[in-house]
Amino acid sequence: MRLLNVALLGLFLTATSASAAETTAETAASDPSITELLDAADDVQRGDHSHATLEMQVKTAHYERTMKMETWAEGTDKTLIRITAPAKDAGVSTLMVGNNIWNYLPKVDRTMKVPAGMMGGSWMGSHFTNDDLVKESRMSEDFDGVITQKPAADGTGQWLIELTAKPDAPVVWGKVLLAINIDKLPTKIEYFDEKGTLVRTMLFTDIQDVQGRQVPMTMTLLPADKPDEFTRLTYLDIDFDTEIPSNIFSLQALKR
Amino acid sequence: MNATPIVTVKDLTRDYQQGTITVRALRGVDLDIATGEFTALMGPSGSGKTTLLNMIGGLDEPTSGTVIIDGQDLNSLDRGQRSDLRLHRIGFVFQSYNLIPVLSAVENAEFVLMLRGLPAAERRARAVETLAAVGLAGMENRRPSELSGGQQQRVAVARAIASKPALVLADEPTANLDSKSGHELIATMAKLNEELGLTFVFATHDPKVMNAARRVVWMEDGKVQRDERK
Amino acid sequence: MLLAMAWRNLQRHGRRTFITAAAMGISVAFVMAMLAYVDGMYRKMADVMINQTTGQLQVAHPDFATQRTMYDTVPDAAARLKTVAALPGVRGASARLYGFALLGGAEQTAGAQLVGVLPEQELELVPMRDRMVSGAWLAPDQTDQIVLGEGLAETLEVAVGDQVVAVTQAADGSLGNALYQVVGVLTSGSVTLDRTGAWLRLKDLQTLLVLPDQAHEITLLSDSLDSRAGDPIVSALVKTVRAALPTDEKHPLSVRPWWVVSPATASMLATSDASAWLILVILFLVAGLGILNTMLMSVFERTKELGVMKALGTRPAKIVQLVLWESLLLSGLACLGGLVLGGVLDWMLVNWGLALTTSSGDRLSTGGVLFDPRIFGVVRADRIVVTVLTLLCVAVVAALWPAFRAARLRPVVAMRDE
Ligand SMILES: Nc1ncnc2c1ncn2[C@@H]1O[C@H](COP(=O)(O)OP(=O)(O)OP(=O)(O)O)[C@@H](O)[C@H]1O
Ligand SMILES: [Mg+2]
Repeated sequence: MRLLNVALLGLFLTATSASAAETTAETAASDPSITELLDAADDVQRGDHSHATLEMQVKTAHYERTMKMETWAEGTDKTLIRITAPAKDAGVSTLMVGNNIWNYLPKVDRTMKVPAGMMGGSWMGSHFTNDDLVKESRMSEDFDGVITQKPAADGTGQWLIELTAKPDAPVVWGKVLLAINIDKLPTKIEYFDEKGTLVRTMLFTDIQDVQGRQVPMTMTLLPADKPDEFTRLTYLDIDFDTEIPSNIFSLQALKR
Repeated sequence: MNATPIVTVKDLTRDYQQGTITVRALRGVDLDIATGEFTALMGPSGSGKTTLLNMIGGLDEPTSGTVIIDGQDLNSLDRGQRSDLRLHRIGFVFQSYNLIPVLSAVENAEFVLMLRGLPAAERRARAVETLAAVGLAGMENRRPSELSGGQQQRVAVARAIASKPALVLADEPTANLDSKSGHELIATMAKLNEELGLTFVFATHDPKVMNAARRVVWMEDGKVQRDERK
Repeated sequence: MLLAMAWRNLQRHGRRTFITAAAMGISVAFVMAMLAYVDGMYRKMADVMINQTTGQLQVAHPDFATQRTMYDTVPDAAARLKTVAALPGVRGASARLYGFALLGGAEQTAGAQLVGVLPEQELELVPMRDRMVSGAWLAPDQTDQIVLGEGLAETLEVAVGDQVVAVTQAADGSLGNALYQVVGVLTSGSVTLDRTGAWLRLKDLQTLLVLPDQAHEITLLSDSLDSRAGDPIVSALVKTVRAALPTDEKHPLSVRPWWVVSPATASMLATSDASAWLILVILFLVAGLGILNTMLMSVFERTKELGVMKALGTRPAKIVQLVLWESLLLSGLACLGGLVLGGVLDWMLVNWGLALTTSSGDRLSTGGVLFDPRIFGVVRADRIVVTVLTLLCVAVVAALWPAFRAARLRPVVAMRDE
C-alpha cells in the first residue's frame, strides 16, 4: 500500500476492492457492500492531478522536527515532493515513478536513486519507509476481506473491515483493520504482523470538504512499539483541479 | 670336610610340560655340597645337570623337594629375594655368550659389584685385581667381541668371583673352548678354589674338568647315580 | 654405569638409533616450525581481528557493541580520547564513529559502512598505509576526503580523484548529504569491510551525521602481545581506564576488553589454539610409536643378555631404568638435533616468513577475515620447552611397556633364547 499516497491523495483502498467483491454475499442486501465502501473511498482520490502543500511533523526519541513540503501527483504512480522548510533541507526533492525513487540533493547538486537495499530505510527521518512511498501491495491477491461491524441504524458508529493475508501471500502485514465512517471515509487503519501484533496505526482526522470531496486533512502514523513517537502529515492546501505539466515527473525537472 | 653344607638338595624333582607330555628332568635328587668343594656334575646329555644347577641357583623353581642355600630354603623366598640371594651369594658362569657385549672386560667383571652397590673406585680396583687373577691383566678395556672364547669365559669367571660369592655355579664353562683354553680355565678355577676356598659346582661333559674335580657326581635320567670323592 | 650401558646400547645399532632419532628430531623441528607459524598466524589474526578491529580494549556506550545504534555515543570524544591516550600502558588510542550511508558515484550507488577516524591515530592501530591499493591514506588536515574499500570502489565504479556523494539519515532526522573526494582505495583485511567500508575523517562524519564531538568507540592498544581471553595486561589496563573515565547516568560508558566486545573472536582464536595442539598430539603419537618400536626391538634382541643380567641378580627396577635411560637418551639426542633444525626453520620463518596460498586464490581467509598470505613466525620459549618436555615424556611413556617386558623376563627362559 502506498501509505504516503494515502495521505497525499486519500488513495487507500483501490487494491482491496477486487478481493472485497468476493465477500459481498455475506452482507445484507440493504447495506452497502464492501465494494461500495471501498469504491466510495476510492472516489476520494479520483482526481487524477493534485497539487498540495503540507507539513510533516516527526517526533522520535531523539529528535522532533517539522518540515514543509510541496507535492505534485499524477495518478497513483507519479509523485514529486519538494521540501521547502527547514532551510537545511530546503530544495531536497523526491521523485517517485512506479516503484523507483530518486532524491535530488541541492547541496551537492546530485540526484541519487534509492537502491533496492535501502527501500526499507526511513524517508526524510520520518516513520515512513521509502517502500511505504511506492510499494503497491497486491491486496486483491493477498488479502480476504470481511465486514465485522456496521454503523447503527441511527447513523452512529462506523464500518469495520478486517483484511486477512491469504496463506503464503508475500506480504508484510498479516492483518489490516479498517475503520470507515458513515460518509464512507477511512478514519483509522491498523496494521498487524503475521503474529497478530499491532505494528502501526494510521489515524485520519480533520475531514474537510475540498472542491466537493471529503478529504482527511491530517494523517498520523503511530508506531506501536514506540508509544512516544509519531509522524503527522497535515495538508495546508490541496488542489485537485490544477494543471500539472507532465514533464515535471522527470529527472531533469527534479533538479530544478 | 666341613659339617655344614652350603648347598642341601632334598628329594628334588622337576617336571617340564612339553605339550601333553610331561618330561621328568629331575626325579628325586639328594645332594649336599660343603663349603670349599670343587664338584663336577657329570652325565649324559639330558640327564638333568643344567636343571639341577638352575634349581640350586634359584633360577628355576622345583616341582617338589627343597634346595637350601646357606641355611635358606629357596621355596620360602619370592622372586625378588631369590634375585638378591643370587646377587649376594652365588656367582654364575654360563656356557657361552654370557657377557654383556656393550661393557668392557673390567666393566663386566665389576657388574655384580655395581649391582651390589659398591663405590665405583672400590669395585673397579677389585675387578682389575680379579681379572689379573684369571690371567687377563692388561685386557681390562677390551670388549667381549675383542676377546677369544677362552678369555671371555675367564671374564665370566672373574665376574662370578669378583664379588666373593659363597658358591660358584658353572654350566659347561669349557664346552665352547679349545682344549688349551679349557685347561687354562680349569686351572684358574682350581687355583681360586685352593687359594680362596671358593666352592665350585660344574655341570660338564669335559673330562678335563672331571680330572680336576675332587668330587664327581654322576647323573643319569634325573637321578644321582654315583658320587665319587677323590 | 647404567647410563653408559644405555648409551652404548644405542650405539650398538647406530643406524637404527640414527633413523629413529632423526625421525623424532624432524618431528621436533617441524613442531617447532609449526608452532612458530601458528603463533605467527595468531599474532596476525589477533592483529587483524583484535588490534585493527575492536582494539584490545574499547571505551563505548554500554549498548553500542550489541545494538550499534547511532545514538549510543561517547560524548566529548576529543577530551576523553586525550585523557585515555595519556594513561600509562596505552600504546595506541583512536576514536571511531560509524555510520551507514548511501554512497553514489557518477553512475552507481551502494550502501556503505562509514568509519570516521582520526587519520594519524588510526595508523597507530591499523597499518592503513600498507593497505592502500591506490592513492593515499586520509590527510589529517584535509576535509571531505574519503578512502574506499576495494570492493566498494569497484561497485561504485570510482577511482582515486573521483567524487562520491554520501547520503544518510543524520542524528537530527535530517537528510545528511555531502560530497567527498576519493583519495585512496584500500584492502582492509576483512572481506566484508572491503565490500562496504569507507573511511573519512572523524570530523567529517560527525558533521554528516550531526553528531558533534561524538564517537562510537575509543579504541585502545596495550603493550600486550597475547591473544588469549583474560590477558592480564589488558585486564589491568581496563581497570586503569575505568578509573580515569568517570561516567554519569546521562553518559554511560563501558570499558571492555576485546574478548568481551567480541566473544566470537575470542572463541575463534581459542579454537585455532586447540587445533595447533591437536597437531602436536598427532606428531608426538607418531614419535611415540617410533620409540615404542625401537625399544621393543632392542629389548627383544637382547632377551638373552637381559636374562643373564637377571640371573646375576639384577633387580627388575634396574632393568626398567636401563630401558628408560635408553629411550630418554635417544629422544634427548633427537631433541638436540630437532632444536638445531627447528632453530634454523624458525629463523627462516621469523625472517623470511612463509606464504601459504590457498587453491582458490592468493589470500588466506579465516572466518571471513582475509590475511596477507605471508605469515612471519613468532618463536616462543615456552612453546619450545613444552615441545621438548612433551617429547621426553612421550619417550618415557612409550618405553614403559618394553621396559616392563624386559624386567619381567624369567632368566632361565630368556637365556635359552637363541
Ligand atoms: N624348558 C624345558 N622344557 C621342557 N623340557 C626341558 C626343559 N629344560 C630341560 N628339559 C628336559 O629336561 C631334561 C633334562 O635337561 P637338562 O638340560 O637338565 O639336561 P643336561 O643334563 O643339562 O643335558 P646337556 O648335557 O645336553 O646339557 C631333558 O630331557 C630336557 O629335554
Ligand atoms: Mg645342560
